[in-house]
Amino acid sequence: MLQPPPRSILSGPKPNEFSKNIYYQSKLNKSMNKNIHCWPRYENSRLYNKKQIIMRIKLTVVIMIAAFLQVSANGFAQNITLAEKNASVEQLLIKIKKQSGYTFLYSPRLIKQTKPVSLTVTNEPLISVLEKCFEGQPLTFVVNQNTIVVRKREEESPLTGIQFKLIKGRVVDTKGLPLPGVTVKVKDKNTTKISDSNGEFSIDAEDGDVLVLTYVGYKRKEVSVKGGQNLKIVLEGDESDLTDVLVIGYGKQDKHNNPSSISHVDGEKLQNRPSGSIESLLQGLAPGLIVQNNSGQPGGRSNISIRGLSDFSSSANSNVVSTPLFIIDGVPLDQDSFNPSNPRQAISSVLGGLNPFDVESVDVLKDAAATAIYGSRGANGVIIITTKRGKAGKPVVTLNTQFGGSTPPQLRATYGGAAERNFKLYLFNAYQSSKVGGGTSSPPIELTDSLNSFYNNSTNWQELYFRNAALYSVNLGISGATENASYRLGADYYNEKGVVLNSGYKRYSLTYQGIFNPTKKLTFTGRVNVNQQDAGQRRGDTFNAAVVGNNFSSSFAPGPNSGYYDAFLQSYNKGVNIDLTRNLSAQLEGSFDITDYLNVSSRGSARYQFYRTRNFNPSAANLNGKASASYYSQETLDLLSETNIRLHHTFANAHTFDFLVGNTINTNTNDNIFGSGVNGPNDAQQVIQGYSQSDITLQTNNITYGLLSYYSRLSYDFKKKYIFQGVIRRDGSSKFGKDKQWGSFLSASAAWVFTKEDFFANHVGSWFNFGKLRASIGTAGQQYQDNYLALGAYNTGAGSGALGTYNGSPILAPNYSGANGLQIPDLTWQTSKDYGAGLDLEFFNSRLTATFDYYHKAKDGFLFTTPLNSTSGYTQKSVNSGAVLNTGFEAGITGYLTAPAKRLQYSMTLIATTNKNQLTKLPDFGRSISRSGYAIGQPYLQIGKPLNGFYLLKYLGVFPDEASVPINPYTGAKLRPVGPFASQDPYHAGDIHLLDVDGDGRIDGSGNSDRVYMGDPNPKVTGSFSNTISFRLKNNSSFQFSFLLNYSIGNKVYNKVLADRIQSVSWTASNNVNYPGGQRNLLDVSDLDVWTPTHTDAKYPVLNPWRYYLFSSYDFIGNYEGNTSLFLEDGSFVRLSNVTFGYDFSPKFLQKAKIRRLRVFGGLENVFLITKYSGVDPENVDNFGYDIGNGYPVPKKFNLGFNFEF
Amino acid sequence: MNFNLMKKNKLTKIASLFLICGILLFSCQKVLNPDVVQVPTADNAIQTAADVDKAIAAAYSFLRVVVPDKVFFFSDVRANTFESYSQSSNTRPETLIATNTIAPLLNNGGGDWSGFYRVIAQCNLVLEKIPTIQNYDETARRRSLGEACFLRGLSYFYLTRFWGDVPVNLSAVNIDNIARMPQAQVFDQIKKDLDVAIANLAPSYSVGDRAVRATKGAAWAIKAHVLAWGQDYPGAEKLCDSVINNGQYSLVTDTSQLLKIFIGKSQEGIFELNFDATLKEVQKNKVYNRTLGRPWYTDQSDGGGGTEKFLLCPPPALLTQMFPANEKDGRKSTWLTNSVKNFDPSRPYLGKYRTLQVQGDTSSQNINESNIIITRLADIMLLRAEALASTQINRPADAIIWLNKVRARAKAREYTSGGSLQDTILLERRKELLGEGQTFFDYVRTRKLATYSKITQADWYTKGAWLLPINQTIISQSGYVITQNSFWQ
Repeated sequence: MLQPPPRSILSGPKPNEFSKNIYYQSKLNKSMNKNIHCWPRYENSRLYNKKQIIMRIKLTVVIMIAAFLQVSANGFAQNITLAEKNASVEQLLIKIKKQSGYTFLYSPRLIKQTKPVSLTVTNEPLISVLEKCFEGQPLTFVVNQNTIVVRKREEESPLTGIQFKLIKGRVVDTKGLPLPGVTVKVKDKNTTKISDSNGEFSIDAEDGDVLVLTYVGYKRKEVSVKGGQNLKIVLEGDESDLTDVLVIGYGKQDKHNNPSSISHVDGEKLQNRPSGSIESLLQGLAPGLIVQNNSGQPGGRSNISIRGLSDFSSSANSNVVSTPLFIIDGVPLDQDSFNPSNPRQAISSVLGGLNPFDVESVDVLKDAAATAIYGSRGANGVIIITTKRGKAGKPVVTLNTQFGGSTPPQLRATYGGAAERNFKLYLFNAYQSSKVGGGTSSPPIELTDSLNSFYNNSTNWQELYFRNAALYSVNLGISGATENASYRLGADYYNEKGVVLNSGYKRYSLTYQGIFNPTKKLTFTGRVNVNQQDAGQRRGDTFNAAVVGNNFSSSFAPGPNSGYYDAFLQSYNKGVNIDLTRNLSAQLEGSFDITDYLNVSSRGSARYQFYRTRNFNPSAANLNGKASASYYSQETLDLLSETNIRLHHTFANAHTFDFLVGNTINTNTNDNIFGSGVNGPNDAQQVIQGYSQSDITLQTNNITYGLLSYYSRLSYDFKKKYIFQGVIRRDGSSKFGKDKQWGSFLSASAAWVFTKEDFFANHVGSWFNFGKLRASIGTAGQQYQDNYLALGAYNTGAGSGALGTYNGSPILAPNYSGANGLQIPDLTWQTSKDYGAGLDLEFFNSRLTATFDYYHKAKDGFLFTTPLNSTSGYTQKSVNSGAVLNTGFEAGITGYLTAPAKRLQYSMTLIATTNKNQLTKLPDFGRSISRSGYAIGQPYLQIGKPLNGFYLLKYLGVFPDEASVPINPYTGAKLRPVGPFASQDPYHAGDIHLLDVDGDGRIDGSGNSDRVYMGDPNPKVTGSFSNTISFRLKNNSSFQFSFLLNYSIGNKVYNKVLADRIQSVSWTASNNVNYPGGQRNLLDVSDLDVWTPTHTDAKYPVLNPWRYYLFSSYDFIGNYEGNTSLFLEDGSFVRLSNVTFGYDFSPKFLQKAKIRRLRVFGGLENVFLITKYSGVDPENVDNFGYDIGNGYPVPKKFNLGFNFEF
Repeated sequence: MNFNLMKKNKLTKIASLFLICGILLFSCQKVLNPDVVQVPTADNAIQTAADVDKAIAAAYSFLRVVVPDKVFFFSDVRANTFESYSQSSNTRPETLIATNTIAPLLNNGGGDWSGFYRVIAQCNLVLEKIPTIQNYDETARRRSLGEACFLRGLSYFYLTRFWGDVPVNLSAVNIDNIARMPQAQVFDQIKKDLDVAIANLAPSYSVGDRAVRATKGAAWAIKAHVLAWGQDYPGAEKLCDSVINNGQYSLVTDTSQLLKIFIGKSQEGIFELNFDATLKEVQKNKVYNRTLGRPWYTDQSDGGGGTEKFLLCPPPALLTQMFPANEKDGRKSTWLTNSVKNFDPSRPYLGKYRTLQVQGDTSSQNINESNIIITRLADIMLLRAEALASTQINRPADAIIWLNKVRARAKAREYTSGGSLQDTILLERRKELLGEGQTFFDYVRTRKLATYSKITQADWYTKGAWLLPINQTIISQSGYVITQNSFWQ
């Protein structure tokens, strides 16, 4: 009789389920194999291998069974006699076979798992002998006619008589959302199932069995089966698991096993906020990562640095910020060092093309132990962004939209209308008599005209440049996975209008990620991202000044000859500044598991960027009254090839080695063209056409660069208790001098998980569940930007200028005067030498986690120019010199204040970073140097002081009377200023009292002799405080409320806006109300404590626009000229950066509509600011801490939106 | 599945993977040396004869940058040939150069020699590159060799006439500190260079290159000056004879065309620096903007032009001495001009370079159309006269012949006798070569400085009062290997 094959044999997972199983297994692995710093898919395949063998055996079994089915059994009831001591089961079976004639089917592998058996039986029935053989063994047997199949014991066959029930269940998260892919296992048995896309599963179990549910990112849960056939199981998020795996560059590592300093930011924290750039959203999310959002421009750049400012050069226009290296899915992104005055640089962030919903996680690599793997580019820290991949199950469609708006910032108070005229007349009447040299001037002509329409209306011109602006975005994601492929498609549209007229930002992006497994050992990953960004903002000082500068703050329209006529709205509106960026990046990665412990992977990627900016200034905006236009376009192609081999194994369950060796080839080409034209023919034409040949400038560039690297990393841990990691990278860069193209970067780090020590476990309660002490040391480098600095560049010329030709013959000569003229074979990278220590702690089952770090980061070898000997013919060359030291502490503390199962969940995170920045070396053993290229302040570098510090004339008060003006004892002359204007006139009563540092009886406002270090624009402490509260209702819908406070302590701000405001009332030619053809604007200064002859104890010096010296027309005493500490303020602040409310609908309710998830949210951005600073916003300042007032204001924003998933 | 086959397959896979990796690694060394197309570099800039020629053009252009101001200030102005137009208000600070005090000398660039070293470095570069050129046409090679040596010799000649002992750098890239070399050895080097130039340069090249590129005649002329400077008058006289009889040069005899000498490339020009408005070879320099006023310039930046107040012009006493009122001299009206209405007619100013009005753009100071003359036939004729009249040769009759050739061309009275012949020749040089950077050198060479300039101390020569000081930054940058001239210490 033909019997159906035993269920246990044929009921192996169906192929479909089977691969799903494997897929999910990979997720599981993250938590399962913490000791192995693994690529999950690697582990996958190992598991897969085992299963595959089993399956193969099972198939063989089936075939063989079929073959034996027809063979009749001869001695079914045969009795067996055996006497064996410590015999292997296999030996026993062989003997039984001989005696009984039964055929045995078993896997040699399985049989090895059995224990030796001692057995003495005499003439016992076969079944009973076999039962004795397999007693206490992991195996059991099934008799099928004359064949005995040996199989694992767990897979109990119904044929053995035990009755199973099919248990059905559904897994959801605390929000009631279904969780697909949860591994459901019957405890102590091998039955494993995976929940489907609705979170549902069905599994065979008997009463009293315990189901174990595991899912990465969630806490393991055990549920016992008691009659109930439809279980509903809620898994709670395990927050500490979310940060389980760190991306460490060319690999991943368990957080608990990582000995270096890396902060992990979950991608979700960047979502649902009204901002065009991820850069700005990173503020306050990781200790040691300092993000200054000093521009409110949509999609704009932020000033971002890791562990303090570590870039500088002799020019204040370059290397002002130390931007880290960005790596997106393994591909480095070259970030130009932003120079705001360079119109050829994009105003939008380099990360602008990436939308937050595509981001899985952001890892911030801080110390050299972590960044050495990026060699000559890692010294400023590395930020690794990992994008999302498809999730298993049925296709999931997510739709996220938001709508929001921003409102203009606080504008400066302005006198308008009659009040303005009255104030001007008051000044005139009060001070015209003080005009030295006799004679009174008649009041300015417009003041005599009380009927002037401007004095009878009150127009606040500022307002005309601002608006309420809307933003909206739509984001669509489709993802899914089948047995051997997963995919994710993302589409994003983001549109934000700026609060300043004619500014805004738009993004269109499309991403695709696919993972394919043609065989189980081979994985291909492909990624494509296409995006376009349109950004617009009026660029240039004139336009900026028109918007928020002091030039447009009167109700009185400036005259055409004032020089500010261009600030008129009409010409402002006609101007064009449009930036367009298109990015296309694609990569293909192949990974092959050669054996269980050896993997080779290789990746090729290409990133293409097209950037162009078009600029048009209408005739009214140019002083010569003619239009001008420019056009710049740039194509960048970055090609990357990476190959690495990874060996990893755990020996004796204790020693885990993970060794990686790899190679990277990176080339970058930048082709650009710039054209500009002046003296344009017509305002209606915004392009360069029909311009006179001599008015056109055209320039093309083709710049290439190559990097060749070899890297290796060895990680070792002993029982996850003692952890060591060493990294070496060799980098060769075409940028460097011939003799120093290659550099080695090394790092070593170690960690001790002291909670794993016995003494600790014995003496400290389980409340202290994890503690790790880390220490690291290492080096990393940074390249300079100019690709051809060391080559010895030549000048050529047939163009204009005396040097262009000689007698018509073009010239060819080394660039004798430039820093790149000489071949410099030893020019090389900047090196940072780091050491640091850290402590990672987890308490109360990881409900309270804390990370502390100390860092000491010395960066040396900054690029400077040094003058050369006059007899060489060369003027200067570049050298590596100059060093800076950053030291500080970092702390990040996260607590889940409520118990995990409670319906009310409350968590908070406190982040703090301190930084001390110190210049330690200058070229040629110099003590100090002035930096060129920054007109507003006078940047200066001095050993022992922070970079970008304030060097100002020190304000001591106001001279209350004539007698208090100091007299130089040697010359008998009164103290007088010698700059910025040469003045013969000494200070008088009411003038500013400044410290005469060198005691020469003169206040030198132009030079350095009287300037004093007065503070640092960078904060001493920065950080954030974030809180999340959620409450789950009975129907499983839930509310969330979160807010993020950012703070900054100890940063100084120079209130240049206030200085200008007073200056425009008090002084300087073109801004003077009394100056012919002058600006004649007037700001409200009535709130200030100003010196007058009757009020001498004042903070601010006299406002006297009618001051003369002898017979010359104007006396340039400059009370409000130059940079004095009168306007230096404490810029510490606390800002409520973000508040979000969210509501998740009940899953039950949603299920009716086949919706997986629906969340509605609303948020506020930049809600309030607490600061002592008297200006508008202490963060909205330039990199030198000057609040010039022409930065893009940081607006308040709100948004509303929903996240929809089905 | 056959396990062996699988294993084999695996091995093949591994092998091919490693092979691919290997290929990638070895083929990528090129990554570190990408083709640089953005700029010529030290490695690839000069590879052909044409490149060498452009490099030489660069050397000329560097000389054009340094010579005009330096030579005008420290030969013409320093010899008290020019002074501020106004002596009361807005006086030109350059006037003080003639007083030979350190501040005005340094403030006007008298302490900075680096411009000459740039020419020298470029010449050194050319001389180093010439042997590396493949398929070099011999004529072109000799010309380039000669020009580089000529320019280097001329630069060192200026250097040593200004600063005496100077460091000698003979390599293209040498950033080491080089000590000063005694003048005698510097002169050996100059003579060596000029001899190479004489040996390799042709008497003339194309018409377009006339006088603005070095020729055999130019090398002779400069060497004649070098020898005369070293008091070797017989040697100098022979070289002057070679120049004069070489058949390339003749005086411009049509007095109405005299200004054409300064437009350049005239039949009289031996060596001059080319400026050309149509080629945009224009460059703001103080020879033009300190000697020409309204209406030549409307650009008033840099204290130049615009108005007579900012001019430097010959002192009235000197003008009377050179051009007595009762004597006819064609140069009075061509060398000098005051044709503008607002000007004081008694204060004419140098007009040799005024041709810019015709061809230049007067809205800026980049308007110079005239060439800067380094030497021309009249100079060599007068140098020959000086040599013949010297005690070493003592052939005054022959000297008078050459003196009168120059005077005759200017329609001036013929010299027969009277006064000191040597002094007459010197005055004639001052007249003829007014504003051409010769006068101070003339006085040092003939040791007549104390007589004619504001440097009146008797021991001016031995004490080195005629030398210029060296900038302190140059001294300190050299690690004090370079020392200050003793007179200025």
